[in-house]
Amino acid sequence: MKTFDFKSLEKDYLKVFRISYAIVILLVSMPFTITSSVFWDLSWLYRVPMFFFLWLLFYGFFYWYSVHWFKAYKYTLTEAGLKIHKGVFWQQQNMIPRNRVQHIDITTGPLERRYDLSKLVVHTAGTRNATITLPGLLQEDAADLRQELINSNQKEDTV
Amino acid sequence: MELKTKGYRLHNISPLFLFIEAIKKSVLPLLIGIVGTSGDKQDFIIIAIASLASVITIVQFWFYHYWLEEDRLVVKEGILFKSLRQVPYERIQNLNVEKNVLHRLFNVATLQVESASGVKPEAVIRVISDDQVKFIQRVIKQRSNAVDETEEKVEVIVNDDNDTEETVMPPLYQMSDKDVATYGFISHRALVPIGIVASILSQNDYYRNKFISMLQNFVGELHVERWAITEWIIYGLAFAFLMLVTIWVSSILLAFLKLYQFRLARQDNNLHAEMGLLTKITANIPIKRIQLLKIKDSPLHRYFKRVSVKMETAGGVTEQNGISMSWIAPLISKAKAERLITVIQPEVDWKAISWLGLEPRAWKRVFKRVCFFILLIMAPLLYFYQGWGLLMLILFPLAFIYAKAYVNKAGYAANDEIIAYRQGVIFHTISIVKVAKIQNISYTQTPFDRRNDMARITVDTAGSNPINQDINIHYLDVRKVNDLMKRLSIQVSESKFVW
Repeated sequence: MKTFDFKSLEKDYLKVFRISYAIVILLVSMPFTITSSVFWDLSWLYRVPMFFFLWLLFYGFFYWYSVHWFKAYKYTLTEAGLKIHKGVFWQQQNMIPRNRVQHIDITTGPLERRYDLSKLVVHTAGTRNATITLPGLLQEDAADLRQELINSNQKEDTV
Repeated sequence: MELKTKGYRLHNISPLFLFIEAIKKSVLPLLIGIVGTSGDKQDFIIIAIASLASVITIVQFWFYHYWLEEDRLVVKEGILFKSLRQVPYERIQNLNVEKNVLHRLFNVATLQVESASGVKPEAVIRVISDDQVKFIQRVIKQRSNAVDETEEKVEVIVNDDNDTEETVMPPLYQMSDKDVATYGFISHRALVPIGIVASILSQNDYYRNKFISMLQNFVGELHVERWAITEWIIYGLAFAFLMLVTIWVSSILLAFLKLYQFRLARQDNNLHAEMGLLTKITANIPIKRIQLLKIKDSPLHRYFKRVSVKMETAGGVTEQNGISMSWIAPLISKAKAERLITVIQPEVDWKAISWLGLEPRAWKRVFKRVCFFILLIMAPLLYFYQGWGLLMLILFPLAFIYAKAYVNKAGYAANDEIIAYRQGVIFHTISIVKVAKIQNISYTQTPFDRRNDMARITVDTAGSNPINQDINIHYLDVRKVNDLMKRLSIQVSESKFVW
């Protein structure tokens, strides 16, 4: 039975995380730009810089958050099972016992593929926390982890 | 006895029941059609719904086949969207039978098969003859019991089961008529439906005028505009009393309809429950499939010195989409409830459960939280009614009492076999989960928790309520939570989960 101590996500995933949120923030800044230009009656000349200013402001906050988010995201594989720690303000720990794993998906987005990363999606038979995702793993690490969790599961019949 | 692998058809009377079911599903548009619209459109809506229901009926009846294979039940249905459903016997969670007056007239029944998947029943066979129901029940029971055994052995069991089938087990729990009436009174089941109907009708001028004129037939002219305060109070109290009695009587009636002659017995490894006055429901639940046990009581429960015991199974079927059966004992004395639970789940040893409290300092947090909500409501009141809004401050001592009681009442227990949580100031709930039924464990810490060195631990089970989890221990010292989590992780990973 393979085990390892707390690991961080791949450094590249921080890039993926930031790029995807940079795009999300483009959308988020939109309504703020519209409201502020209505509020101050801005002309087109100022609307565009306003948009970029808002984007920069939000992205700045997000950048600071992402550093801590990345630091807090950790996972470990013990003999009991997979344990994930995450969250900056609202901190969470999820524990999935090895023998409760129903099935595991590996998904890869276009950005993640560029950096050779994958996301592990572990399903249990629970209700509220039935699906637990672990992003930012190297493709072969994700496959290994999946194999390890499934293998240790095979020894017992979980039906 | 040989198992037919050729498809069975539904009973010939089936279209009638399917039609009724299709109508039932479209009862809401029907109601809107009748109450909501005015004039000539009503007929069209009714005709449209009736014709749609007929089409659904015919399709369902003609293209519904099912058969029993060596190890699975197979259901084939549909024309445009065909589906072939295979349910292995060992995966079947519950087997429920419904019989209402109409069913009884034709000697047929609706059979519902539940597995652990999702919220819909795996198969609803509507309707088949009584003999066929018995046959299917018997086959499923034997086959699922004989999972690990060889085929020859199965054959043997099939043969001698015909004799043992007739022996009636003594019931674990039974409800007398008095129990049912008491339960109806305690539950106030009719409160919500009556409230909804009354509020809808009171919005409709026509019905309101009709009600008032009907009332005036009995008590004479009311002359509301000339009422003094005393008259308001007297009439108000009389009306409230009338409503209360109506609610009680109809709640008791509802209880009788649902729980009349409730009987819970044990057959081998299954729980067998029967209940109902006009619509009779029979449910078969494998004991090992019970995921969670819940003991509930309200102030009225305590007045009658009774509790209610419920269970959760992995099939999340609710009353809206099938026959749901979650009762173990609707009304039972506490001592008997404890004994009954130990019979059903021997792992639950009441002597081994030692309740641990939350952190005593947690009351401050509950108090602050309640106060925050009081202030939140007070803000608009202050704006609209100025000084009068300050009356809300009277609630603060109540909040203090509530917070103290909350922390005193809440508690948890964890031992080798189970984890239990109890909570509630006015309505008490005790939830018990066997360690082997735990799916995953989570820990959450909010910024407020962190300031107070506290955390929350939740335990997820199959078929649990997705909105409020039953084992959700909050306001616990972070060190205790960490210990508990570590211990539970090891315990769970060492225990085998059986569906």
